[in-house]
This record gives sequence, C-alpha cells and structure tokens, in this order.
Amino acid sequence: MSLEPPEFDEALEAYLDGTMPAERRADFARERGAALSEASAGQARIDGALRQQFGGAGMTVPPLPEAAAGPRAYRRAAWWRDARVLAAAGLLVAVGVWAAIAGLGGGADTLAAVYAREVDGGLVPGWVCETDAEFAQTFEDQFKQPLLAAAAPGVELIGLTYNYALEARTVMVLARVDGEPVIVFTGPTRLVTETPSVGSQSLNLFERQIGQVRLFEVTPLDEPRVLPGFYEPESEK
Amino acid sequence: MTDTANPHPLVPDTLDRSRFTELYAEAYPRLYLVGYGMLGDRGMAEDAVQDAVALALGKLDSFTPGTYFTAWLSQFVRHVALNQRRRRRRRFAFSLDREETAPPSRSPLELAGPAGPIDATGRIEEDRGHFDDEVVAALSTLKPAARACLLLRTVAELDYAEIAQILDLPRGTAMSHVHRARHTLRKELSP
Repeated sequence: MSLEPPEFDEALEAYLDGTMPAERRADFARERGAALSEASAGQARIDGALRQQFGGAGMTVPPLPEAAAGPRAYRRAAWWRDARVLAAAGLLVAVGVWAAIAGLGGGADTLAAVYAREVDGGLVPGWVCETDAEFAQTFEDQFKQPLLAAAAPGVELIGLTYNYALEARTVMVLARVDGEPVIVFTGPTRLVTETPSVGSQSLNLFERQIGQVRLFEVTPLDEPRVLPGFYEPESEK
Repeated sequence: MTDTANPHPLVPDTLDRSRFTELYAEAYPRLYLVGYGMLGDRGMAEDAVQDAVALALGKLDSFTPGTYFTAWLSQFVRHVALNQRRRRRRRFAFSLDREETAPPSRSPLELAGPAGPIDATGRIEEDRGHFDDEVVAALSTLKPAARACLLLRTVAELDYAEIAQILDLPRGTAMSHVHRARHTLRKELSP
C-alpha cells in the first residue's frame, strides 16, 4: 500500500532526485519516515524499469547515411501553391545577427553572410508547409506563438529553413520579391534583445516585432515587402 | 585547444564527417532518448534520429567548434520530431475515412519495448515484464518535453545542465519536468 501523499511535493522529489542538499537529507528522512521509504522504493522500481527498457547497453547504432539527404525528408507540399500564402510573404530574414545577439560565441555569421550562403545555395528550404495551419504551428512550436503571412503583390514565399549557428530557435523564411531573394529571420524576443547589423551595404534591414517574436527582413530592396504581411492569427479555441 | 587536451569528447574543436561519425556513435543513445521523448514511439524515434543526422551532415558548417556536439545534433532531432508530430496529428485530424480524430490508443504491449527480462535460469521474469509494460504505458501519458527530460535524467543519468543544453530548456524547467513526471508515474503506478 502506498503511503505517498497524493499531492505534488517538491521536497520529496528533490530528495528522490538527489538534488536535496546533503545536510538536509538526514532530517528529511527522519521527518517522513515510512512514507519516504515507500516513495523511494516505488521510484527505484520505476527507474529500474526505465533503464531496462531504454538503457543503451547493447543498443545498435545505425550507420550514417551515405550522403547528406538535406531537406529530402520533408514533404514538398503545396504551401506556395496556395495563392494567399504564395502572394503573401516573401519572408527571408537573414539569420546572422541572432548568433551575436544570442551570445553564441565567436564565429557568428553576419546577416549578409547567411543571406549570401542561402542565395548561393539556391534558396532551398528545409521545410515546406502544406497549409496555413502548418505554417502557424511551426512558429507556435518554436516560439510559443503562431504567425501567418498575408498575400502581397510580387511576393513569392518559398519555404522555411533553420540556421543553428546563429540561434537555437531561429526560423528563416525564404522568399522572392519581384524576383529578388529576400530572407526573414525570426526569433524569440527573450533571446533577440538587440537589432542586428546586416554587415553589407548592398542589403537593407527592416525590423518588426509581433508579440513574442522578432522579425528581421534582409532584402536588396529599399522597403520591406514581406514583413508587413505577417500577423498573429486569432485563436481557434 | 587540441582534442587530446579537451577533457570532454563530445565538445570537439573541429568537426568533419569522420569526427562526426565518432561523435554520433557516442551521442546516439542520448539522441534516441530525445527522439523517443518527443515522439513516444521507438520506430519513429529511430527514424527521427536518422533524418536528423542526414540533415545535420549537410550543415556541418553550422556547428560551432568547442560547443557540445550532442546539444547541436539534438536540435535537428527535435526539429524533425516536431515535424513528424505535426504530420501525425494532421493525418488523424483530416482523415475522412476514419471515425476517430485522434491517434488510436496503443496497448501497453505495443508501447513496451523488448520482452521481459530473463533470469539466470532462462525464465522470463513475468512480474517484472508486466510492470515494465505498465511503466512504458504510463510514460506515454507524459508531455514530450517532460518525457524527454525524465529519460535523459533517469536512463542517461545526465545532470540538469546537460539536459538543459540538449533540450534547449532552462535548467529549472528541466528539473521541474523530471520531478513532476516522476510524481505522475508513481501516482499512476501505485497499487
């Protein structure tokens, strides 16, 4: 029979987890007595089962793929075939600045460097959303906030990609505006605390914040064409 | 700093495909736990790690030398797993031929891993195997982040600083996930 109290007990969990200060453990054990013994035994049994089921002993490590598959694992969906989405956001925001902002250490790329790399690579997205809902969910998953992009003349949205060198949760939206490559970098406001520099005189930077997300449009054009289209969808709940 | 001076094998000073291969093998058990934590399914976890590795191999230049390799590769695993979860939700939510709108429930045996342990005489420890099934079933009730934190803490025996890096969570959040997950499992599994 379990004597464990039904409610969550942080002190108990700290004791079982080994994070309770050593000088406190003996007193705590005396205070709790049999209830603590029961909980300890129960937890040990569960931990043993988890290690048995998921322990790495004897685990076979699959071989590496023959060649980098790139974005092939992702569905080439018709996100851009949706006229609303296609016309909407040519979001291409350079990722570079986030690396410096997030303090990710030396070697962080400038926005211009990341922009150039993506353009040289053909603006190939790592992920293409099939629907508006999927697009919105991408941002909600990454930044706890959904975002959509409305249609805009001359704006072609290509897809999304990620640059982990700059910031763990940087989503780049790739697009073409009047045929020109444009990148919108998006990141959480809690990490992106400063406005980045582009690092190139041939590119312009435009900034916008929507709730918990900061967006930076890096573009060769003189005005932002993708940023204005972003908006936070109404909750369906 | 040379590799021989680097006390942590998973914090490489350089990363090419050869070094990646070595580090991947060492990091795989933790990456698998991240994948399983995110997806709650062994096969999907294995696929997610493989897809993540393929993605990461094409982006070796995004790795910052001197940083934690497992955390870097875990980002790809989480990204792939998130996409797989979204596709799985959409498949069930938008199906026109099925009455249910949620993934079908899975029996503990489906959720469980290998058969129960065998003792020294060759007999299957039935009680232990049954309890293990129940633990795996209870694990499926946890949210992905909590499940991943719990597995990295309990199975991989990582400290919270490492868990926080691997899952890109605040240390306190990771600890809270583990504590609450353990409480939940004990409640569900208590007689």
